[in-house]
Order: sequence, then structure tokens, then C-alpha cells
Amino acid sequence: MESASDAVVERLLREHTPHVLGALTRRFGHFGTAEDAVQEALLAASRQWPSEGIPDSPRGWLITVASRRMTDLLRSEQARRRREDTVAAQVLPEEFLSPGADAPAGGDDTLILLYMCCHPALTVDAQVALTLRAVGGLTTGEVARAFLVPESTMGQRISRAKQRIRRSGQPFRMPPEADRPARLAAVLHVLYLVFNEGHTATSGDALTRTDLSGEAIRLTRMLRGLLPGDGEVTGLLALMLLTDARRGARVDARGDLVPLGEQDRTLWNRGLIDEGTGLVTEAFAAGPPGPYSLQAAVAALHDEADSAETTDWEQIAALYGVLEGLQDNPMVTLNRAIAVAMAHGPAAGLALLAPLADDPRMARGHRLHAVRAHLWEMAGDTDAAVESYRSAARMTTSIPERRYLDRKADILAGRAR
Amino acid sequence: MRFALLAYAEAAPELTDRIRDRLTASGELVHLVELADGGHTRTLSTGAAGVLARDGELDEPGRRLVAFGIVDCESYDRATHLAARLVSGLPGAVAVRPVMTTTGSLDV
Repeated sequence: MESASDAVVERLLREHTPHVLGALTRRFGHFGTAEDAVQEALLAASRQWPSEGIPDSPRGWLITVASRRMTDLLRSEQARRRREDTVAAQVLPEEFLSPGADAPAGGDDTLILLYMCCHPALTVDAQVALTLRAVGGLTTGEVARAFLVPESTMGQRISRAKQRIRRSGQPFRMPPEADRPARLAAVLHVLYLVFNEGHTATSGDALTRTDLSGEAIRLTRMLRGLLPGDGEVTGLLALMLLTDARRGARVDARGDLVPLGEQDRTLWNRGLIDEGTGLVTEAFAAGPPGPYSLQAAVAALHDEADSAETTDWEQIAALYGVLEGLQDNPMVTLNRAIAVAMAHGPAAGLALLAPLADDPRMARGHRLHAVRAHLWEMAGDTDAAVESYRSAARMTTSIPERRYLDRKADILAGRAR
Repeated sequence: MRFALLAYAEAAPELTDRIRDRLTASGELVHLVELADGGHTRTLSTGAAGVLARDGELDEPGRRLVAFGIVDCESYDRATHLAARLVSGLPGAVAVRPVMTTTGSLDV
């Protein structure tokens, strides 16, 4: 044993979390209780390992400690139910330090856990919270801080989620083949949301908030290790890396948003771009590209260009066209309109926007106004642009976006005077 | 997504209690502020003679803001559903109003 830094210990613990939880749930059942026991073992390790050193078999150590705790928890639960049997206590923790020959590979457990945490009976918020705790190994406090809610609220959200899973009667095994595509889609959606939440956090928050985009990338990498042939898993990882590559350029020194076209591209992370671009190629080779792969391909085209002017907008418009065929989502049309405007001029883009004005899904949002403003600005119609920037600023619920949109309107209005 | 639930009532603490109890249990309450009686309110505004201060609030009588809670929930529909359940069977009203955040995910 040798002493280790807190960061090394934290990384190690997060890596082992799903395997330890999988082993415990497999042995004892009671996913919810097992999840609590694993959290306590992680806490004990994070206290002991930095000073006392990392044990020779970290996973074995965690399983042993979590099992003891699990036995206690089940005992007290049973005592509460005034039953005399202590079934769980008969299982010796040492028994499963070396898994039996029939035990499945640890990776399967991790997949089962991801599917379980993204169970359709849960709200998306609950899926996100549970995934980060049970699979990611984050504490309730860390998840709460990441989403800026009180720890008690997050604790309640997680325990309700576990109750729902228990009531659903979901056994700890792979969902039937027919259900897996939908379950995998839910998992990818959760990972995407976690990434986005981290990516949009402003630099001021970054000091106190857990690095959610880093965590999302880590979990998606892990998922890709388990499903290397799945194009959409690869596509999502590529999308995250290609987006994260621009992190250093997306806000200026004052903390204001810098739009893609105005970003200092020398600040983009080359290593991430190269890796992401390679993954896009792999994702497209895996079969007909899905939504994440297509979005990743768009991100790659942006990341490879020296400037907005030299970007391959024609190709981006074509990719959004394919995406429109897969998803009935007006946001995709908005993005295609921008690409078409960049390739063929603002009038062509504005023509694509016209049908969206009647789309009820656009009624509350600010994005249609923001895109219109941008295209009218391109077309030189300053008054219409200012009015649309103001409408967009009024309708957005994002603080940095409102600042950006108001600033655009101010600058344009000043120029018009 | 974050919403302010603005609770309007004559005086009844019932609505406030419901917000605290139900939304704590559902894991969606971020913050709850209970407001003192409207009689303690001082409202400032600019009139012809400059800034005026007067005691009392702007709300109509019988519909006073008694509390507001901040919730973190999945969607606008979910927030609306919560408000409907809170106000059900009680006098008063609950308004749902989005809160500005750094993410801002009201659409899509």
C-alpha cells in the first residue's frame, strides 16, 4: 500500500463503482439498499485510502466493506419489519471476492445498471441523478451541487427513484432484446443531458460545480468500451469531444458567450478534435448514421474549418437535411436554415423559417426569433433584426443568452442611429 | 428546469404548507420563501413628484402573494401539474413562472 492523492483515489473509486454495485446487487438483490451500501463503502475509502494507501485489490476491498454494510442494512430493515430471519447475514462477504465461473463479465453489470437507472418509470431528472450516483459514483452532495439544488432535495429525488424501480419489479438482468434499443436511447439521452448541463455552466459556477461534462465523457467512454460496435454510442462520444474542444473559446474574459463564428479558434483543443473526428468516421462506418452521429459530423465540420467563412456550410445543410428525415424536430430545421443561409444567402434561410412560425412547439421558445434576427442582420435589415433580437432576449430563460441577445440588439440599434 | 411557484391567497397558510410538504417529498423543492402579511409591505414607485413610498402592496385585495417556492422539475407541463395539485380544493391561486438559469431550457 502507498499513499495516494485525493484525485487519484476519486478516479479509482468512480471507476470501480458500477462493478461493486453490480456484484452486490447480483448477490443480495435489493438494488436500492445495495446502492446505499456502496455509497458508504466509497465514503469510507475516500477517507481512508489517501492516508493509509490504496489496497492491493481496491475492488475486493470495496466489495467487502459494502457487503458488511449491506448485511447491517438488511438486518436492520428486517428488524424493522419484525422478522426473525437474517437471511442476508448468512452470506459471507469473502465468498464473492473471487467471482464464480458462471458470473458474467463485470461490463455486463455496468450495462444492466445503466439500463436500470434509465428505467422508463423514472422522470428524466431522476434518471440523471441516479445514473450519476449509482454508476458514476458521485455522492448525493456532489450531484446536488452540480445541479444547484439542496442536498436534501437531491437525496429525496434519488430515494424516490429507487422506490419506483423497486415497485416496477425490474429484475437485475439484461432487459429483453426487443426493449434494448429504447433503453439504450434513454441512457444516451441521460448522458447527453449531463454533458450539456456541464457544458453550459458558466465559468463562475465551474469553481463549485462538479465537472459534469467530464463525467459525461467518462461514462460515455465506458459505455463505448461495452458496446464498441454501436454507431450512436460512438457518435455521442464524438459529439461530446468535438463540443468540449471549444470550451476554452466559448466565453470571453467577462464571462459573456462568444458565438461560434466569432470564437478564437486557436483556443480550440486540437487533441479532442482529432479524436472526435476519428470517432465520427468510425460511427459512420458502423451503419446508417443516427442523430448523435449526424450532429457529431456537423461539429467536426465546424471544428475543422479555419473560420465561419471557410466552413463547409453546404455539407452541414445536407447533414441537417438527413437529420430532419430522422427526427420531427423544428430545432433541426432552424439549424438547417442557418447553414443554408451561410451557403446561399439569408433570403434562402429565411424562406425555410417561414413554416415554423405556425409551429406550436416554437411558440414559447426564443430560438426562432434569435435565428431570424441573425439572418435579417445578414440581409442588412437592421430594424427587423433589432426587433427579433429583443424578442429573443425577452423569451430566453438562459441568463448568458439574454445578455448576448440584448448586447447584439444594442450594438445594431446604435449602428442604425 | 426551474420555476417559481407564486402562491396567492387571502391568508391561508394551507397553500404554503402544501408546497413545503408535497414538493419536499417529491424531491423537487429548491427553496421556499414565506412572506409576511401584506400589511407589512412597503411599495415604492415613481410618481409626478418623484419617488413615492406607500404602505401596502400592488396585488388585488384577497389575492395576496403569501409565499413563493423555487422548484426544479422536468418540464413546464410538470410544473403546471404540480401547481394544479397544490391549488386543488383551496381558495387562492398558484402562478408558474420560469426562472432564468445559465442553461435556460424552456424550449426543447
